[in-house]
Amino acid sequence: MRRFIPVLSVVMAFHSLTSAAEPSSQVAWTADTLNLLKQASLERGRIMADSCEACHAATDENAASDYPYLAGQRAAYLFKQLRDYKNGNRINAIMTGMAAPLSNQAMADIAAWYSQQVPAVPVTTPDNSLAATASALVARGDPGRLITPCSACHTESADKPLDNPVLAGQKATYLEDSLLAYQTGHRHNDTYQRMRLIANSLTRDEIHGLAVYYASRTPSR
Amino acid sequence: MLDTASKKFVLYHFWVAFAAFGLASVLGFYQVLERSGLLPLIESSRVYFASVSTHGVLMAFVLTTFFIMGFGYATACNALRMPLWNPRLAWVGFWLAVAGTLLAAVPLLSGKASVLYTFYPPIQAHTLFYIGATLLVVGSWVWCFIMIRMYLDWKKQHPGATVPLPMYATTANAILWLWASLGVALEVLFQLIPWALGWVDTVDPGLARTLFSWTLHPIVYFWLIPAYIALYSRVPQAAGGRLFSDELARVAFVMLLVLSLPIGFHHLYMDPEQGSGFKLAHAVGTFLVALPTLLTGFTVTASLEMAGRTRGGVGLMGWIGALPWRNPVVLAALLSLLMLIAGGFGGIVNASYAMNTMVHNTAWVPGHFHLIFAGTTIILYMAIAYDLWPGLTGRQLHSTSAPLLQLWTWFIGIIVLTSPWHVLGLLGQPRRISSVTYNSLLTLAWTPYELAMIVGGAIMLASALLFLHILAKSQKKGVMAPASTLDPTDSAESGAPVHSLLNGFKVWNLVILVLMLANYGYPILQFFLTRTYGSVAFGY
Repeated sequence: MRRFIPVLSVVMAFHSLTSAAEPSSQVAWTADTLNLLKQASLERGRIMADSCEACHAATDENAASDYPYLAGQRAAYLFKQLRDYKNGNRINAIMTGMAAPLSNQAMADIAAWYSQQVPAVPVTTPDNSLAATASALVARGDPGRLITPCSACHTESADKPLDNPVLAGQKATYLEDSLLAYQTGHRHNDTYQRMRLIANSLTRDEIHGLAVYYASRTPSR
Repeated sequence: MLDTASKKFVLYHFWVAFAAFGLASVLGFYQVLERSGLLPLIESSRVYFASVSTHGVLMAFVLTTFFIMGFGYATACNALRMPLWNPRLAWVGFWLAVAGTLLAAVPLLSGKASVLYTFYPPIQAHTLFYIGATLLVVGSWVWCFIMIRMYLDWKKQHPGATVPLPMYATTANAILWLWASLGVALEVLFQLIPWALGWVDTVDPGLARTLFSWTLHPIVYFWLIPAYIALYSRVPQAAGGRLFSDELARVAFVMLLVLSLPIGFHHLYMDPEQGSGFKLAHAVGTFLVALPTLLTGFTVTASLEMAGRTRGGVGLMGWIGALPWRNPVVLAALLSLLMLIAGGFGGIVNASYAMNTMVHNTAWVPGHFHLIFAGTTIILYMAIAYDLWPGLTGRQLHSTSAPLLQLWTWFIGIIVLTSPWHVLGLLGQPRRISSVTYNSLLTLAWTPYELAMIVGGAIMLASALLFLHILAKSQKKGVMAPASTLDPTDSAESGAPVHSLLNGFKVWNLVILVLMLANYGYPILQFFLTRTYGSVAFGY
């Protein structure tokens, strides 16, 4: 047994080195980062966001796609997603390329501009057969499965905490895809794996129900 | 010697205090109902935490500060037989405190200051809340200054005479509050207000908590000393006897003044920013401050025993039954002492590092401080109000039985509320939560205790409303009081000679300075000597 101990130690040390967990995101909400957002230029943001609008504007052409609406989204959330795309913490064939040339200042400007825009009016109609389960998950979660209420973080107004996205009025397809991506681990830029843990406890039907529920809600300003 | 204008002035203080008490009592009942989860309709974490913060501020800052100021002015004038010194300045102090309360109320009631009464940075409140709290404290400093000034004037006019005990204790309380409030004043002025205004981006929670701990324990004695004054200077006479020992009472007040200040780290036992050596030093001091309370228990009980035996009580316990239980002051004192015994035991658990670890941040802690504050302290505030009311309003209490019913229901309500609260802590229920519905087998055991707490809260709310009703009705419709009953605290001639150490505060202020430097000097200095990192506001 004794001779196995050094071998075992080496194996464990190697394992701990190679599997040293990379952070899910490299964005920290330091005073400098928050000040960057506070002092962002809406005018520069507006100009740069022109190219984003082709896919993300709430137009009839974009309604069928699964690209998310960005107008009225929280600035801190948008900034973090852009940084995560650039740093490789969130992967998307299009967005990784779009974010790569952006400076921190540019990302802050775009995020700030979008946060000031009026959000889209929801086009999804509520599904009564799914509403009861979804609204229970939103308001109370499911303590038995350690699912916290969605509303604990995702309030419908521009309230704290600032880096959580507003879900009300978002496209159902995008919300559903996101939850499924968290469930499979394809999306993994959630701090402390919060969304991966929650999504793993949700059933396929619950995910669909939640997506429709939020998509049919009107975001408040 | 309270003249008519001063009586009105004292009544203003009492009514602000009791109005705050009434509102806070309603909020308290809402809270115990909301967190039980029995009524999903009223569940809201936002409303709950706004309510808890308002309840805490109203009870711990507004009720206490205004009551203590009013009682202090009455005690000073009656005990020293002097008119109120500089009434204009005293009114300035009163209005400053009122303005502060109103300023703080706006963000509190609109949910912009849900930081609980202990502030808890990096949770951030609206600037108005911090400014309001500061004004309230500044108003109370005016009171401190007037109390000390009246004490010094009396000593100058009566060289070598012994300061009457109630005034000696009131001056001790004014000095205690000046020392105690310095910690929170430094925190608010140099950390919280600049941070809330955006002048600085971050706050150092470790330093803030250290400064708040400077205030957090002695403030308890600031609240408690008026109750002790009643126990020493009113209860023995009301029971038909006299104080067992004036000197022991003075020793107790001096010990409370000196020992309650340098011990705040027992609120930081689990905090990482302070070392275990300093925590040990504060723990030793915490155990020492139990001594004046034990001394008070002994002296007051001895005084009551003397009174009971004078009234014909015999045998080992016979004197207890012979006491005038139908006198509100005596009844409140007896019930208060009972609660002090239980609450004191709980306090020793909290002060013990290992046992504190078991109950840290559990429901035990609010159970403990409600028993000591709402129980031991507030029941004596109520008795003091009943005792002073005829003198202040010129009218007798409208009923002799209603105050007894009110005091008994308050006592029963406290016991029914706080006993299960303690047990819930031992069962692992966390504190500072807005909902306890975890739906697990582990937490099912909490339900019966939650129900009992609701019953206790309902009894307390009814008792609080009865208290306000008795005072209001007596002031409006009570029978005119005979002149001989008007000034119950007007006891005071100077007492028998005592050692100069028990008749002044110079030496004790120096002792406090040394102890504070020893226990708080380096723990505060370290934040400026080592590199520490501030935090942005919680939730960004």
